[in-house]
Formats: sequence, structure tokens, C-alpha cells
Amino acid sequence: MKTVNGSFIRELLRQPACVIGLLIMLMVCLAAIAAPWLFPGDPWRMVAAPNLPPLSPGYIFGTDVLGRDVAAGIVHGARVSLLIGCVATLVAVLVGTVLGAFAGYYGGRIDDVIMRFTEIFQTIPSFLLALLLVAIFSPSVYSIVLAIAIVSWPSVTRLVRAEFMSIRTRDYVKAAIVGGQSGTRIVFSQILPNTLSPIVVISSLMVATAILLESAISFLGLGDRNMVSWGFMIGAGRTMIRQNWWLSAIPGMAIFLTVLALNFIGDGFNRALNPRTARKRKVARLIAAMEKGTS
Amino acid sequence: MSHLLEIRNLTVALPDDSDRRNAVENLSLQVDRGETVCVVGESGSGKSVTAHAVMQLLPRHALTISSGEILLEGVNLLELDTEAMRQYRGARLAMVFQEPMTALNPVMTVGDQIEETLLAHGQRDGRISRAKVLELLADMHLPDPQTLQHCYPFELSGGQRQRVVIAMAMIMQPGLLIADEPTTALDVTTQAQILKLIDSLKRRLGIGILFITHDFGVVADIADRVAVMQDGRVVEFGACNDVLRHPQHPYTKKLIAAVPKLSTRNGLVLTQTQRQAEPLLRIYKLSKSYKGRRAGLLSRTSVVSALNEVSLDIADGETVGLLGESGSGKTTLGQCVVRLLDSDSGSIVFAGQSIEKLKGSALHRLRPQIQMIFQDPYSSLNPRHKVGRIITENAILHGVKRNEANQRMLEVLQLVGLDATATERYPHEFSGGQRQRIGIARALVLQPRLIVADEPVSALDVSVQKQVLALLLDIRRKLGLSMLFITHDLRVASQVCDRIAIMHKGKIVECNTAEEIYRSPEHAYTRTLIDAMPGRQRAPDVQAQAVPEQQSDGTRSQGVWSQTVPAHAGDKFCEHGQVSPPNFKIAT
Amino acid sequence: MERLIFLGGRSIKALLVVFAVIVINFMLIRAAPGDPASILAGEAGAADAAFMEQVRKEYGLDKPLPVQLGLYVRQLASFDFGNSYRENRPVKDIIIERLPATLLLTLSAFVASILIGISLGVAAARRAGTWVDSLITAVSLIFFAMPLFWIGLLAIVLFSVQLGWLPAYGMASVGAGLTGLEAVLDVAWHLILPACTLGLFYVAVYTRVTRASAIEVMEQDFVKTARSKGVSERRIWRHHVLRNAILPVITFGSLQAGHLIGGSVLIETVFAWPGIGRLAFDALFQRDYNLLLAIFFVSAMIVVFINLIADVLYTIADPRIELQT
Repeated sequence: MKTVNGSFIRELLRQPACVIGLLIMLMVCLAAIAAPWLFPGDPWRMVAAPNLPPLSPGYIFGTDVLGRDVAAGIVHGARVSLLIGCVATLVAVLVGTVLGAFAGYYGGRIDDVIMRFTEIFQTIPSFLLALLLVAIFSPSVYSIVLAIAIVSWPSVTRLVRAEFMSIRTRDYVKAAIVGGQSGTRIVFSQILPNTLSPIVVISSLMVATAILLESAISFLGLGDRNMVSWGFMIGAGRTMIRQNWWLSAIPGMAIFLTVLALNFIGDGFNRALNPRTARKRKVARLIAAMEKGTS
Repeated sequence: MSHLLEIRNLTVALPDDSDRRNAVENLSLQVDRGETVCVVGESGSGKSVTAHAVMQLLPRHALTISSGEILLEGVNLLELDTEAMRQYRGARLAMVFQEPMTALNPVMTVGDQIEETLLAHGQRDGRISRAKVLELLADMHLPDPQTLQHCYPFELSGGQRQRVVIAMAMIMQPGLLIADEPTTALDVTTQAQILKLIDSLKRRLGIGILFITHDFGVVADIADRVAVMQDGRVVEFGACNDVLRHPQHPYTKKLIAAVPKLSTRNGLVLTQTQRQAEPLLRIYKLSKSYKGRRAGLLSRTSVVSALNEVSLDIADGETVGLLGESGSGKTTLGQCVVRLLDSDSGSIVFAGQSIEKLKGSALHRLRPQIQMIFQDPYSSLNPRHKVGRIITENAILHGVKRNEANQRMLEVLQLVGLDATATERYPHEFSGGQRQRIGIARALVLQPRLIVADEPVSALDVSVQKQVLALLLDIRRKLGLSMLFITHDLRVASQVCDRIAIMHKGKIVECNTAEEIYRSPEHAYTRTLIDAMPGRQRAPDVQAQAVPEQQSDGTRSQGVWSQTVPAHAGDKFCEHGQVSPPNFKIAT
Repeated sequence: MERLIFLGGRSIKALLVVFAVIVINFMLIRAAPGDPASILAGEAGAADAAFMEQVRKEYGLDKPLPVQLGLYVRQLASFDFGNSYRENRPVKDIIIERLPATLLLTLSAFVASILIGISLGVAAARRAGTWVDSLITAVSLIFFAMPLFWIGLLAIVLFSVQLGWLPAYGMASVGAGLTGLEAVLDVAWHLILPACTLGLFYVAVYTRVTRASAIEVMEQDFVKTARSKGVSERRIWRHHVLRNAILPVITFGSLQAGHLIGGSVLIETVFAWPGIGRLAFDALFQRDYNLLLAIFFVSAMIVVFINLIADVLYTIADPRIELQT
């Protein structure tokens, strides 16, 4: 990544979808950071007349049946979603990468054990397990983060393992072994830097999935009581859906835009980091492939 | 008289931001019935693009034909619509590609895939089709057609798959066969068989063949006419003998000069005392086997014996070649010596120390003394590390101080012919030949006593190959290293090695100097290998030449390098390299 | 013969998963705050002392842990989930009652989403780079990004409240007393909205996967070989591209089975569909962990079963199966 820093950013910005995604995420992050200033205090306290529709003066997203400001909920909810999404992803990626790296590099029995373990977690209905975990350990930010991380790490492990298995046979890894480098050193300094691209891509997509998971958990009523999350707002607005449709529609829109943006960014990263799809070298690669005899 | 295939002024354009304007520029060539025209060039010459253009199989949106005509029996293929061209493909002209391992649909049986050609051209009667398929499988000398037709590609070997591809191409008896490096991915002996097969097709059916290759030896064997390509243009086109013996264009001359010739130069001769001294490396009855899946018709899971009690000595300062085809065990032996692999039994003694069971810190201490050079310059350097780090990293790990490591690096860079500024750059900024030099530098910086070179020039263009081989010779002379040189090409081995050990199915079957091997091969397999060497038949002077050894500074060498090897001196050094009994059968 | 070995290995793996689920259940019960007996009694805390005593004896809660685990394994293996205090009948019966509704919902969503998703994915891959491809990709991305329950709510607002075309809740019209074909049609009518909503998300997923897989296969050598033989584009697609592209989709599809069951929890909640997903939601509210765990176990069994079927399909489709079990 060091070599292509300048061109990496240019490649990112060259894709319109990615730019839109970045802008949206920027807004979400700003909202999350600025929440205490934009809407100080508890966002879920009663502040105005109930059932105000969107675009009412002073309450751009309206209010709910108890007179609570929807806009405040949205902005504070951004915090919750991003926090939970990012932390859970971080944990899942860290655990998944380490497991996948060692499984992929060492192979043999270590690989067998790790893969059995991973497959078990992948087969188990993950959402149900997450609900179980949150329910049993009492709903809180911590239990939600833990639950999401626990159901998310298997896909990272599979990906990292596949990458490591393919890179392990490269000659520069063999050269490192012949040069006397230890297994751990090879894993972290030789192979890992070459697997960063797919890890980055999957991370951005995982944050999106984590946000979706968190909103589903909150929607069902298992969210942290002290924090207003978008999922919770949708769930709370559900009973009034015929009259106050905006109570569920707007938070859902927020989730949708955030997840969409993250997907755009993930695709953007993929295209920018992956030299195979870089436009310029694509033709050279095609010709080389023709000559080497692989299409 | 009309030609079978006539290409007139073909230009294939590349997209705007490419290195050059056109992949192929103003190309004209002709192929007649009953003749083989070889198109030869290095990578980037446009030869493959030409072949794909004739078949109209160029990747769309990337390469477009901007001008020219391609006439097959007078009909301009470029003016045909999609459906008409589809009907031509497979029936009037057909193509065979380079890589047999990926050329067939993995989930369809071989018989179905051959029959598909008939189906595509209107032959609906199942019985007639099946009969034709069986007939063709037999024509291609494939074993047991009745059973083979129901096999899946993964059950066949590379050579067998290639025959299936040729069968698919020939079943409708097209007038023109385009072969895009069809034997490059195959073993030398298999290559010889396939070339013979293609040649017999030409003579029997009177087809015209457009044969793409990079190997002048192959050209010498099969071509009637040759076209030499460089940077998208044909620089020379004429009868094979004319072009090979009297090349006109400087590029052609350069290419022909770069072709590795079987050199019977005299190799290292050791004095009596040196002969009796301990060899630097002594391999004794080394064995290794894998549990694997054999790609054969009948056997499935079996134990594959990669190395079968192999014994070999390498004296101090000597270069021994390991010559063999795929599956011979040469790569496995090299990896065992470097301790990338653990052997099952037998011993490896290096400088008096037994190393096959070393572990931990003892192994770590050994590492700098035995280093390796790899085959693929594009995967032997970590793309994320700078060259400076790649070269010095291991030395520093072994306790060399950073200053000294850098100093060594600069010396070594000079030795391999690279500039000191290379240290701050990344591998992707270098060409294949340069990357190979970096790999050599990385090995040398540790000051090893023995280098195992695993096909170090196989993946390089012929002209670059020549440079790197010269570099290896130079290094060897200057540093007095010993080398185990693994290759599949006898010509290349003869350039660099003092002795060559020929491996077949996990055993060393013969071990001698290049000259002895060439002039009087003892083992049947060796004879097969020599016969299969491309270029041997028709143009012997493209082949074996006794080239007097020259120093890189132009003077002829004296002393140890130029004495003739006494006829039996070689035997002593293969003391433990037993030749199998003469009636050892070679399975085809 | 090798296929049998392969499937045998897969079955062992399936059993391993089941065992792991049982162990997880076991650990969760012990990990939860409070007395395991009260959890196992259901209704956390609402059960009376006599019932709890009975539970304690049944699950051997005073015996050492390994014995407890053994007892627990035996019970779950025979599908004995204990009794529900509130309803005073075995949990197993409650689940069996509700299971068919969930199966109906998830199977119809699954089948529909696979068929539509693969077709769209193939259509997009065939016209890769054109506006059709962009459109399909964009639409699938949109549905992929929407929370499942939100789509459900919006669907209710649009189709039920605003347009009045389809019923919003339940599996059958209440109190209509329909029988025979009319009853079946009534259920089908109620099925449309929830099944489509559940399926929509997975249509998006399968479209993306199929498209990516097909594009990758299209670039392989053997497709070029087929073209060079003069094979028609249609045949190339059907016999060369699809037959190879389908393999990763089968693998992927079986991985999705677990998510589908999770999705049914949300959809059944939104649409008040009387399946085990809705049951799970109620159990969450009532803090009836025992019921939850039982649902979890049953779902895992279903997923394992689906995976086995997928494995069988895979061995039929791919003659090359790896022997690694």
C-alpha cells in the first residue's frame, strides 16, 4: 500500500459510487461526533408536542407519540451504530485474522482444529446465537458488541486462511524460510502485509453487517436501555406505523444510507487496492495471460 | 495460387494509455496447405495476439482490430458476422492453446467435450458422433479410448489433456490449425511426442499449421517457414533453413545467438587430492514420499515416491546439474537440501555435518551457508518490501550489523550488475531479468557456500536467459561457490554445470559431464531425453556446439578449466549415484 | 465410493456441530446470572418450588458437571426439552406445533430467492458492463442494504395499509372457518408478503454471488476453448459457465441457511406469523431461556440437515470432490 498511496486515493475518488459513500459516511461520523453539541442532554426526553410530522418548525424529523425529538434520536443513534459497528468489527477482524493466519500458514493439525471450530460457528444460526447471548448476558453495549463479534469472526477466518494458503506457496515465503526467518515472523511481516487489501475490504463490509445486526437486536427490544439506537426507534415506532409512519421510516432510512455507503466504500477499496482490476494494467495482464497460455 | 491463410497488414490496437500504440502492427504473413509456419518471438512481441486475432478470440473492449485483412481460403474473416464466424471456428480453422491443465471444462467428460465440436456444427446423430470420438482418441494415441471417453479432465495428465484438445480441434478436419505454444507447458519428452503428432497430422491431412513458439529448437524441428516478431512487427519471414542459417535482421541474429546451445565445454577437473577430500555436500540414499493423488487413468490415491534412495556428491567449487522432467524429483531433492522439506530417510552431510535432522537454533545457524535461487522472478520477491530490505533482512537476522549488511549489499549489487539506487525501489519497478538478479543478490549477501538454483532461467525470455546464465557463471568463478543447478533443459545445464545428474522418477539414472552424456549416453532414459531435445534433428548446428570456455573479460582460460576430462573421471564423483540396471523400463 | 467417504466425513462433521450446539447451550445456561434450575424451569423465577425441585432432579443439577453434561446431551438428543411451566406441557410439543409455519415461510422464501437470484445474477453476468448489469447490481445492492424488518414494515405500509392488497398479519384469516382448498389459498395469500420480504434480501445476496461467480468462470481458459470449437454462446453459457459457476453458489447457499432462520425471527415478528421465530421473540420477552435454547437447538439441527443436502448436491455437481473430510 505504501507504493500506491497517491494513486490509491486517486483510484478511490475516481469511482462515483465510492465518493458518494465517503460523503455519506463523513456526514454520519460528523453527526456522531457532534451529537452532544447538536442535541445536548438525553435525546430521548420529551421536548415538544407529540406526533408532529416531519418538516415541522424546529423539528425537522418530527416527534413521536410522547413528544420526543426524532432528529435528536437519529443523531445520537449514529453514535451508537458506529460505535458498536466499529468495535465489534475490530474484535472480529483481530480474532479472525490471527486464527486464519495460523490456520492457513501452518496447515496440518492446527488448520484442522481451527477450521472445525470455525465451521461449527458458521453453521450455527448466527442471529439466534447473538440474541441468546445478549439475552442471557443482559442487554448492554458490551454484550451486543461481544455477541456480534462472536458471530462475525468466522467469515474473516475463512478469508484470511484462504489468502494465507495461497501466499504460503509463493517463492518469497520459501526464500524467507531458507533465509532463516521464524514462522511467526513470516506470518506477520511477509504474508500479512500482502493480505491487507482483502482484509480492509471485508472490514468495511463487516461494519455494515454489524450495524444491521445491531439494529435487528435493538428492534427486538434487546438493545441497551441507556442508548437510543436506530433499531430501537424503528421498533418503538412500530405500533404507530399507520399514523406516524415517519417514526419507523426515518431511522430505517438512516440505517439504509449508512449501510449503502459502507458497501460503496468497500467496493471502492476493492477496486482501488486490487491491482487485477486496475484499468491500466488490465490489458497488459490480458496480453500476458494470453501469452502465458492462461486465457 | 491462393494461400490457405493470408494475413494482410493486420493492426491490432491497444487502448490509449498503454506502452505502445499497437499490439500488432502492419503484420503480413501467409500459410499454405501442407506447411507449418512458425511465428517466433519473445514476450510482448504480439505473436499470441496475432493467433487470437485470426480466430477472432481477442478479449473484447481491450484489443481491437483497427485495420487489415485476414483471408482464409480467400474469405475475409473480419467481414463475417458473429454467427458465420462461429460456424467457421472448429470446422474450417481451429486452435490449440498453451495450458492443457485449464483448457478443458472440469465438470464435463472428455468424450462429451470432443463430441461437442461435432454437435456445434450440426452433427446430431449420437452413434456417428461417438464412433468418430473413439476413432479420434485412437488417432491421438490415447490409451483405451473406450474408458477414456468417460473420464474427467482431472484424471488425465498434461500430455493426455493436450492430445484431447488437439482431438477436439481436429475432429472436423479444419484446413488450418493454429497452435499457440502448445508444448511450452509440457515436459521435453511429452513435447517431442506432441510435436510429432502435430507434424503427422500435417502430412496425413495436408492441413496448414500456424505454430506460435518462443523456442528456436522447436522451429528447427518442425517449421517450413519462420516469421520472427518483435514489438508487434514481423522483422523477418522466410524459409526455415534460410532464416536459421543466414538470419538477416539484427534482432533475429540476436535471438538465435541467445538460444542456449548444448555446450560440451570442459568442466571442472579436480586434482587427485581434491578428489579424495570430503565433498562439500554428500547426499546418501535420500528418500521422500508423498501421499498423493496420481493423475492417471487407473490409480487414485497412492503413495508417490518422490525420491528413491538418491545419492549424490558435490565437491567444493563444483556445479552439479540436476536434470529431469516434472515428477522426476529434482525439485524435491533441491528442497530437501535447502531444508525446505524434511526427507523420510537417508542422510545429507554438509561440510562434515549431518543436516537432514537439524532443528531449532542449529538449523538457524546452518541457513546462511545454503541458499536458494527461485524460478519465478514475479513471485520470488515480496511485493510490499523495498529491495534493500529484501536483500539485507536475512543477514541482519543472523547477526550481521546493519552497516556491514549494507556494505555487503552494495558489493553484491555491483556483482549482479544492478545500480545502488535499486535499494529504495519496489520489485514491481523491475523487469523479470532484473528481479532474478535481485534474488541472486539476496542469496549471495549471506555468503553461502552452496547455492541451490531451482530452474533460475526457465521463466525468462531467451535473451535475458543468456545474460543471467552468464552472470551465474561469472559469480561462480569469482566467489568459488558450489552450486546445485536444477533444470529441465539439457542445453542450459551444459552451459553452467561441471557434471549433470539425470533424474527420472525419483532416481538418478546417469551422472556425467555434459559432453559424455551427449556423446555416449549410458541410460535409455538419457537417450530419450537427448532425442527429445528440440532442434536436434534438422539443424544440428543450432544444437550441440563445443564452445570453448571464455572468461567474461574475453580471454581464454587456462589451467583447471580447460583440461580435457579423462573419460572415466566422472565415475568417481558419482560414486554413490548408482545407475539403475540397463533393462529398466520407462513407462510412457 | 469416494463420494460415500466424502459424505461420511461430512456426516461426522454434522454430528460435531450438533454436539457443539448442545455444549454451547449447556454453557450458556450455566453462564447466565441466576440459578440454572430457574432457567431450565422456564419463566425465570415464576415457577414454584416443587417444579424447580423436579427440574433439579431431572437435570441432575446437584451432580458434578460432566454428569450434568451427559444428562443434558441425552435429553437433547432425544428431543426432550423439558416442560414449559406456563403452558404445562412439553416444550417439544410447543415447538412442533409452530415449526410447520416457519418451514413454510423459510422454504418458500429460500426457493424463490434462489431461483430469482440466480437468474438475475446470470442475466447481469451475461451483460456485464451494460446498463442491465448496472441496474441489476444497483437494485440488489439497495435491497441488500436495507434492514430486513424495515423492508417488512414498509411493505406493510405500502401493500396493506395504503393499497389494501394484501393482509398485514397472521397466517390465516381469523374466524373465517375456511376449509380445504379455500384454506390453502387463504394461507397462500397471507404468505405472499412475509415470504417476499424475507426472500428479497436473499435475492440480492444470491444475485451478487452468482454474478461474481459467473464472471470469474467466464474468464477461464476452457470457455475460450469452447468458443474456439465453434460452440454457440447459449450452449457455452448453459454447459460451461453455469455448470461451473453453480458450485460456489451451492456452497454459499448452504451457508445462508442459518441466516435465513435468523431472518425468520424478524419477519415473523413483524408479520405476526405463528412460527418458531415468533415464538423465540415471545420467549425473549418472557425471559424464557429454556424455550429459547430449545428453539436454538432445533434451528441448528435444521441448518445441519440443509448443509448435508447441499453437500450431496455438490458431490453430484462436481466430479472432482476433495477427499479431505
